[in-house]
Amino acid sequence: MKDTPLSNCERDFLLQAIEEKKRLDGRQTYDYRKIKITFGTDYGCCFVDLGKTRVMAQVSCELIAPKENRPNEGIMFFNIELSPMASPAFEQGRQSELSVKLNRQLERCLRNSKCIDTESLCVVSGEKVWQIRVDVHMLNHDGNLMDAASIAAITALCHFRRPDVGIQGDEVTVYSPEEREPIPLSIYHMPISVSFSFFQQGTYLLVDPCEREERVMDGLLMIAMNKHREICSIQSSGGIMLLKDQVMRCSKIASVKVSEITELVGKALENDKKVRKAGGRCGFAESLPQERITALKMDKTPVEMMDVTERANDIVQKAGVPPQTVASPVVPVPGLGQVGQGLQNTWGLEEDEEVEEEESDISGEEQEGKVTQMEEEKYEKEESRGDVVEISDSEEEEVVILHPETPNKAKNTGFSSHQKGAASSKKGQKK
Amino acid sequence: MNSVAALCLNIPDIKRCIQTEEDRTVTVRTLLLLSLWSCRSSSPGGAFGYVHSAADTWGVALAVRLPFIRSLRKNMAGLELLSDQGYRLDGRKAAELRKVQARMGVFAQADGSAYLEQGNTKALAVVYGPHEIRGSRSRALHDRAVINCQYSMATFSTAERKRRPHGDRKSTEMSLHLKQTFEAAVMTQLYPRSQIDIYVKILQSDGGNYSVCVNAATLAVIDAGIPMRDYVCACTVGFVDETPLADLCYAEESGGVSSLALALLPRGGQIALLQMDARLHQDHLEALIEAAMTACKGVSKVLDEVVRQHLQEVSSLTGE
Repeated sequence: MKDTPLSNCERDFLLQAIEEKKRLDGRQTYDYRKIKITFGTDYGCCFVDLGKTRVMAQVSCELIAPKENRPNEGIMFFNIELSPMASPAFEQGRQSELSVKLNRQLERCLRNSKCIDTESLCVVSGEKVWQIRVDVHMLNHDGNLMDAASIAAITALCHFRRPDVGIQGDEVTVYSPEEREPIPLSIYHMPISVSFSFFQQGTYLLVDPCEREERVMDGLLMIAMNKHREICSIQSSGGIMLLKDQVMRCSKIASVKVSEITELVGKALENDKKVRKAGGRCGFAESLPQERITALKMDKTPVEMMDVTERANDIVQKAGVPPQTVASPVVPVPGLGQVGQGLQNTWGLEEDEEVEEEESDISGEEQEGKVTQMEEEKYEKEESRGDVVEISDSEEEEVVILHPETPNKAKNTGFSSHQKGAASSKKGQKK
Repeated sequence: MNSVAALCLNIPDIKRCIQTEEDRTVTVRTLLLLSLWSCRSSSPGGAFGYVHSAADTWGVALAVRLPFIRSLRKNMAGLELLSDQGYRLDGRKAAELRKVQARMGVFAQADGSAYLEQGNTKALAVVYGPHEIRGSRSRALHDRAVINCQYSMATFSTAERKRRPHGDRKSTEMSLHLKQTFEAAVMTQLYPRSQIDIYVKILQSDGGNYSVCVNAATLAVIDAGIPMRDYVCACTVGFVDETPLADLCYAEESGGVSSLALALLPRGGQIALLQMDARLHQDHLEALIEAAMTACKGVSKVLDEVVRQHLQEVSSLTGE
């Protein structure tokens, strides 16, 4: 399903707001949205909420034969699924560009930085090693999928426990969780990615873009770091040109953000450990807010209310008289009636036409709200010229009602510019 | 590191048994060998830690006597990436680029083509366009040209035969990166509703695949006569021992060195693409990017030379 295109006015609004250092949800330029981390019932299942973006990561393991050139190392496999439930733009089964990009970025971020000790995953060298598979599913796309996916993946890896194995000579026994306590993976460091979006050819920069901001951005810079200030991966995408000091600035911001997020992840893991030890219930169902009649929770929407009353008064004063509505049904000629003509179109596309007529008809009227003014005139003309009614919007159909005395003017109210051109040319002909 | 600590404890015992200096040297050498053998799979930093403790116990003089300490800058293959004289595996200095040889106008059928060799990495680039959009008209952009890139590696390009030359994730990612790089550089506003195809093939891969592709594609685009803002030059740099190494070869890349690939428009110093893998401390980032930019500027000079020479040849042939 194709995603609805972004209208030009929305795009202009977003860009204008960014120029004024304002974001849609009231955040500052370098602020992250609220991050919430919850865990599922099994070890290795993790949900991350980054604002409204929601992703789920699940880690699983399997004993397989290792690669030939690395016989004593385990295998890590990453997979990001862009599920169609996340966004209408994602299609089932097709490996879109975004999917490839996210997959490769996650792989580079986690695998090339060697955050997991793969040698500890070796059971029998050359024969049996653990394959750790991380599946990340996008549940809701509200921007910045990469960051959410990286947080989810590394948290799930930290949370995961693999079964214990015992080797007696040639025999390998895998103990179930009931027989022996499963072992956590040995993780050296936690790489977390931070995304920066650039606007207006690199003049403006935002951290953690939401979905709307992502649509109007020029390009994206992703920096993955760990809390020891080691950069694990940098990737610039989109057609932007960066300068070296921009990259340095971004890396400094990223180090701050990464330490905050790492703290958050650590706390979440601690909490979960406590809950599990205390025997409390944990899991996805528990983390959802209870559906109770008395529990009404509404998030505060940040709305700027600084000079609302003055502005509102201004608008009310300047607004003209609302257009008069035509009584329906319109009965122009005995025997012919029409119901539901609808309001005049306010697109202002036929301003040229209207201007010509205005100059000939009206003089010296105040032009406060030009559009409303023209609307009124148009209505007056329509009432006086009551012989022409529109039955349909089609360009081909011209409704001309012939009267013996009154002159006939065919009139088309089209909604497109070339129709307008045709109408004005027809007008010219008729005149 | 646990195995290293265990070996350290044995030193005081051994010290008592050694009478002559020669014995001492031999023993420490053996110990070092043992430590290196046990640390062979961990990063070079592990072995280094042991040597420091040995020096502390035995005095600094011993450290000077032992030649093995210097050779601890080893990667997994056991080769020195940077010797103390400053020479790399292939005898280059740290900031030296590989030899670049290039030819433009290699194929008659294509609008533009180029062949570029950078050391042992060889790439062919072919450009078709600008022409009408093929396939779905919906992909056409009303105000600029669409750039379509395809990157593939020949099956014989790597040491082991490549089973899937294109269509796998790495190739798709590389194609996307090339597209992104050239979208920034080519003046696509001059050709609305059309398409420019860039095909790059690696014939022999010896490190720096992306950079060589970008350089070859730049020459091909120039050969096709498509206007660009500036030369797009790319280079892969690595960081070993606090020194940036320019233009990595395969052995250096696979040695776990942090590598940074940079595509630059030299005149304005604008970065079209920045990609880095493996761990690097934030403080070294600036130095690495600086080194990459210098290397790219060097490449741009070479490419400029190639273009001018080609132009001279062509104009002399046509008798201008």
